[in-house]
Amino acid sequence: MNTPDSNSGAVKPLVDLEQLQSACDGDAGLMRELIDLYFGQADEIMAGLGKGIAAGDVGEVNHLSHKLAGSSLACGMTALIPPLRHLEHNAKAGHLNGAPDWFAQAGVQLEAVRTFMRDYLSQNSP
Amino acid sequence: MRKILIVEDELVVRSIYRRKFEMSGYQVETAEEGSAALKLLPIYKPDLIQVDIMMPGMDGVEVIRQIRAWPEFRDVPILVLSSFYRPDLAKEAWKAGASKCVSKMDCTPNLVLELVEQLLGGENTGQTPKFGSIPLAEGALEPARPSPARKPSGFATKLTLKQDATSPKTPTPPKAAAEPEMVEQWPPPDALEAPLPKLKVSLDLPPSTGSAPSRPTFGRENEGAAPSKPTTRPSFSGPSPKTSETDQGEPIVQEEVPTGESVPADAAPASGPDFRMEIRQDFLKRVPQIQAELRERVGALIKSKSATDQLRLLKELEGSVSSLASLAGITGFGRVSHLSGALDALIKDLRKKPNQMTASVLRSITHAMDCLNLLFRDLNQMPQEIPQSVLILVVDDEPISRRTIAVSLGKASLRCIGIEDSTVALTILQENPFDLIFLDAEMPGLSGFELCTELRKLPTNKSTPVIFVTSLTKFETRAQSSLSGGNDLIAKPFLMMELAVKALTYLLKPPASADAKSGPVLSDE
Repeated sequence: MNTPDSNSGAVKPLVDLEQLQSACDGDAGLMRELIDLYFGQADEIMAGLGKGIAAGDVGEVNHLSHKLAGSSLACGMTALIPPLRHLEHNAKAGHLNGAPDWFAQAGVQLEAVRTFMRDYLSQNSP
Repeated sequence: MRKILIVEDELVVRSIYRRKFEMSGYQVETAEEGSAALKLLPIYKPDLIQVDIMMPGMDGVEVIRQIRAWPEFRDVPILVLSSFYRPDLAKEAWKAGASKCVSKMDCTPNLVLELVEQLLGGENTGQTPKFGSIPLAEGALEPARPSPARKPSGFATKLTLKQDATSPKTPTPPKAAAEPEMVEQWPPPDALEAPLPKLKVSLDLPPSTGSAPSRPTFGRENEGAAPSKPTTRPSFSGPSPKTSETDQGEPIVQEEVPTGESVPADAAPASGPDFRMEIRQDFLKRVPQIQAELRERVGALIKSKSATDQLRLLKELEGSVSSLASLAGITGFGRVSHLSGALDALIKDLRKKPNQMTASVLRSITHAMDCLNLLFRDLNQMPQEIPQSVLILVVDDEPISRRTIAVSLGKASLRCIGIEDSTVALTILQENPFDLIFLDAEMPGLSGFELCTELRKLPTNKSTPVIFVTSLTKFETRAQSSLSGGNDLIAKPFLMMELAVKALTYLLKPPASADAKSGPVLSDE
């Protein structure tokens, strides 16, 4: 499943399945475990990010966006990486300009990825 | 006279086994590849077939499938030589009908001969074997079964924690477990000596039950009490009894591991006492040639620009490394065999996923080659035992990363302690010496670099190799890593075998060079 990129018109995958497979070395059990870990952590981080942005806490926003971007990269959840990198980049530079928008975009992508993975797992369950 | 067919693409390995079996009174025929073996089969009618799992062209699994498709060979014992680092292949071999799988990295001609005799149902009397009585799944690579009688052991039981300045100090160093710790369940957190109610400590371990099979051990289970872990650098070597028992009480035949100057004589009288010495000497003579070939192939791989060239060069390198793993295993050079075996598995992964060929991977391959060169240099001066009781610490605030590192280490049967909080990690590091530490660079509280700087001040871990696992790969990161006292970097996302190779590179390095902070140079790219 792919989603259109509103900026370029190019089609980018929501999830890099090859990377996800690689992260769990083709082990279906480990894949489920990593996916559960990922979404559990992502929800927690997104909640923290929302609070950090509201409080104008650049340190917290920097740390949390870096953390979620890192695990998104590791699990191949590529759709979340650009908005998170923007948040991280700006927070590192000491400001939160546009942070609510990037945060909202990250939230939308997270839900899209969650739906994608739910479908994927139900189609690929043994 | 019983007849054995050896299916093996590596000429030297083929010759060694042929000689070993012939010296023991068997009639032997060899085939260099699967299709030749299948042609030979109805003419030669062997009593036992020894198959190398990884061969060019038709692989071992396919050979076994085709053999088993012939009704007259359905019950002929098939002994498979597989890779310790490819348990998936051993599984496939079993499914295809293999009788027994052994790891090339740990098997010597004596062990193989013992297994052959076991599979043939006793002495080489020329009688027809009763293969039906031999259980199919009892090979050395069979997923380990936890024994209820065997008390779970683990590194966590050795940890001591000083929670605050008023707590009584418990400067007890971690005790080496009484048993090797490569398999079995990780102990639950409540097994820790000191309670950790206020600290965020998680224990990450590779999967040992459930969906993923347990990793095989290095092949030397239940070695008896290992020496207590010293507060200085740990000793990897321990007693190596010639025989021991599996969890099920089945004997595991083990050859004494050669320890440098005193090369043990071959134990099998039928084979002659000089056999092992002879094959070791042959191997030692070949070492300069092997080194030159590896150097040339790795050099060409690093310089190659096109994907097509890289794939070709990877294939060539795989051939050299795979052959080295077999030869070193057969001659009892365990460290060389294990490192080259892991490297072989990494190269195989890269051939499947060429887009994962990053600078980090190339660097890991190069460092593994450097380590192999050190091992070659010291082949006759150092123990060849594989580390039995290894303490690895992983500090990363990100659970997925900790889990992935733990699973990666599990590929080399290594287990680790995963810590989320870098401040807690520092407390643990104050009291406990580790053999290897993986640190995330960016963490809240103490960053990985800050933690590294601090741990270098600790007598317990001042020289423990530290590897940063980070998505930051800029020059500044490398400089920071080096300045903080780090030994190496590995870039996220990484291939699991890459991390396993990286760990083995540090753990199998000759002790003198591992103790000194002589880790791979950080600014070589």
